[in-house]
Amino acid sequence: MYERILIPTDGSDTAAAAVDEALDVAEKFDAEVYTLYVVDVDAMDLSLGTEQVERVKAGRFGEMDELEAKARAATEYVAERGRERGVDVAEHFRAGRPHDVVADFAEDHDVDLLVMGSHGRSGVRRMLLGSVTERVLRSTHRSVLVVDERGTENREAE
Amino acid sequence: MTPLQLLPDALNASFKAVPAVMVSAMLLLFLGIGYVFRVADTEDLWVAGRSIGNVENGMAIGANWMSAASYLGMAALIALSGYYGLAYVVGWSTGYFILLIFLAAQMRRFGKYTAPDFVGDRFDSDAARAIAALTTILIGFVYSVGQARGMGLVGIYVFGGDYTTMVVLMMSITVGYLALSGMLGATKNMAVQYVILIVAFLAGLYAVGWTQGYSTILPHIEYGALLSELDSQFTEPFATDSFYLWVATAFSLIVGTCGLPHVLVRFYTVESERTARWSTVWGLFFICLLYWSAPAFAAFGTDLYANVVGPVYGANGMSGAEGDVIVVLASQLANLPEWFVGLVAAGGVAAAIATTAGLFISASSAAAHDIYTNIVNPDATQRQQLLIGRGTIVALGAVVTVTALDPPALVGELVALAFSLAGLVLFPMFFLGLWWENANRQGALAGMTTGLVIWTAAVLNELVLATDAGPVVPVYADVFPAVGAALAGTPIVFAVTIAVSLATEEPDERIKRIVRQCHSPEPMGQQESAEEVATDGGQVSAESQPSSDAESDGGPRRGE
Amino acid sequence: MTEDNTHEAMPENDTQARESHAQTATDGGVAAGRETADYLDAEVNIFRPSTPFMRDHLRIIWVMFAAWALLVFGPVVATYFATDAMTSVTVLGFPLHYLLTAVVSPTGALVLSFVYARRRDRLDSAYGIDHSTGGDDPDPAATATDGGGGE
Repeated sequence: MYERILIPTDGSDTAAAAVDEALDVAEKFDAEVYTLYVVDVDAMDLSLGTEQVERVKAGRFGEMDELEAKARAATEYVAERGRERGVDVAEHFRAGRPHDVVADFAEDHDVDLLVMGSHGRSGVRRMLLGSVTERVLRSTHRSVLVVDERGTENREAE
Repeated sequence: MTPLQLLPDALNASFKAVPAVMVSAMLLLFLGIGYVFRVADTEDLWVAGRSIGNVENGMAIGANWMSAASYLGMAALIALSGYYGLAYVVGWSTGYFILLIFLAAQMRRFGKYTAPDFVGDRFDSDAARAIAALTTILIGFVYSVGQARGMGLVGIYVFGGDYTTMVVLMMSITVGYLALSGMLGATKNMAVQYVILIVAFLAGLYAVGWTQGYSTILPHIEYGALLSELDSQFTEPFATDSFYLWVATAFSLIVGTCGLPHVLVRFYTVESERTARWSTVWGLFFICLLYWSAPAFAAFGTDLYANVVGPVYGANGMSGAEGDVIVVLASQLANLPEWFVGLVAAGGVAAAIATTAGLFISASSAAAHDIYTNIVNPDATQRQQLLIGRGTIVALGAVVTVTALDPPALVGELVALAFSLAGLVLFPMFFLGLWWENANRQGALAGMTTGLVIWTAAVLNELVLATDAGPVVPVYADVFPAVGAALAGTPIVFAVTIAVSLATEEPDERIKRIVRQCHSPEPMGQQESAEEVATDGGQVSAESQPSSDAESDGGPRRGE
Repeated sequence: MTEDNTHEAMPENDTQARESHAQTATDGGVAAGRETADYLDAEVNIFRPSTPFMRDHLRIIWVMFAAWALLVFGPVVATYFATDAMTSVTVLGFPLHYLLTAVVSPTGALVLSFVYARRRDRLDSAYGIDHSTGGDDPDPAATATDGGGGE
């Protein structure tokens, strides 16, 4: 049923919460797995300045050591979990607005299922920090499995 | 000086539809072009995309200088303060040569992201990074207050009303512009901004010169003939401001140019050191286009004012507020059509807004990247950084607006304050950091603190705590004038930094190697920073060359 | 790719310098362990250049810096000490002090910048440094064709 599964990650614990469940599904359906790290250009514009964004546009991400390290660490986490289970994970990197890029990637690669974590925030925190997961949900018509971060804590206790 | 008095009387203050539309059009054009060139989904982060040439880089450097200070403030100072105003022309232009020979190429090789990055990494100190970041924010604040004053005054021409309303309105537009720019994902396109603003300025200059019979094809030289007809105060040297102040101001502006964070960061991202050098040359050319013109504009304006309005100097002369808008005023007094004057005015407003937007981003990156991510929360997610950045912008916008309602000085002077801060605190760190490998953490901390103290004392002494009788400590104000504090101050900071560095242990060999790499003539790989090359002896590892073994869609990276 | 002409171009002629230049010259400036190590071991101190390249570079810098200082502060100092002379002489309608300060200083700085950039280019080619390859990117199409010519 699911032939291609996408696990977007931003390196956060919330994203990590979704990985095990995603790999469970992948194993059961013997699906191809992709993981994707999106360099958030809007955040970079404000946190590093527009010149850095131009650097990324010019394809010189390799100069930006810490950013590259963070990106690779995020995808490597997923790949590592995959290796433990004998599942191959293809690591991909893009730049742009995370929810748009994830949705576009899912289209381009004909992904059947996206698996993302949710922090389950509410109220002011939700309003301020928002939810990329929510936006992806609204940006794509492909199936999305949302794994609530708090739910996995309970499951691990079992 | 209460806000209500800040009315440039001679300026025709009323709502003018066409100029208002022009201001909006310029801003929308900046946004639009930024939107067109935005970062759409980038497929492969490691494949070379559009590279930026020397001319375009040069325009971006020129655009950095297209602020209310250059557009409005310089002509103002030249008209109001005569020969002293030329200290600003000289200081703000010739400083780039120093940047070129001592800093530009070396910064490229250091290859980080922000100025506090440089200070923090070079001196291996979070405290140094924090001080540099706070200084960056302070620079952004002071510089923006100058822009806000300019916006407010010219806004009176375009929209009518009074100064207070205009400052609030213009600053709101600025924050809105930033927000919209963020929402659209529009990246700044500095080259376009430069072209539009220089065209507006030069058009005004040529039109005023032509219609009033001052000049034909080269007003930048032809205005010389006019000088003898002007009040002698326009050209007389050291009439109201001393020789020391002239030299101090010029010096401060020069070293400030070499210490401004948003100027230096451009050099991190150019392709090679050769590009860094030639971009600076082009940049200086584009800056000179404006700086050759400003004195001419001031001369025309002064003559028109004297003929049409009244005496320029003396007790009933041109007010500070009128002087600050002399560029627009000259166009108005020359009886140019309203839409044309509107073009010149729109240029001034757009220049101020664009500059403020850029400064706010510089401050937001200091808060989000340098302070928050690097010091407070190393695991900060991109979204958290985004939030901190936006919060900083809003907070800064509010503080700048409030301060600008009762500004303590002219536009050009306010901006010069920011330069003197940069010259006192950051320039010594960049210079010594790059040119003396034994400059160490303790020296840097001592130096930066000294610089901050000198500057803060000067500002408090002369502007904040001063009474109508003058500065609190007149002697201090003579030696360390707020806009020119770097002449006496920067050597002190150098001395302190050097002395403390010599008295304490030398930096790690690792740091020294990074500095050496900045000067090594070996061209660096496109994908390398000085730190990378220095630490693994220049071996280009497979990791920094993913383009040679990557698939085109950024497929699987490292092997297992 | 050896470039023997570097020896003639060098004012310093001690064997060590010649050797390290030959090393630099051999591969068009590709950063490789040995060559880079020479520079990474040489102390960076603006008053004590420790490599021939630094010496040449600093020589250019100091000369041009002196010229710049003269152009930038010369007019105002002259105006201070010789006020009458500077203000009474007129050139193109300008009082001399005004012309020098408002026009000659900025223009002079621009010219000096241009001259510096050219001299650095010449110094780089004398040392066999070639920025256009970027040092190690094997694909010329991915980099600017001449190290950043205006586009």
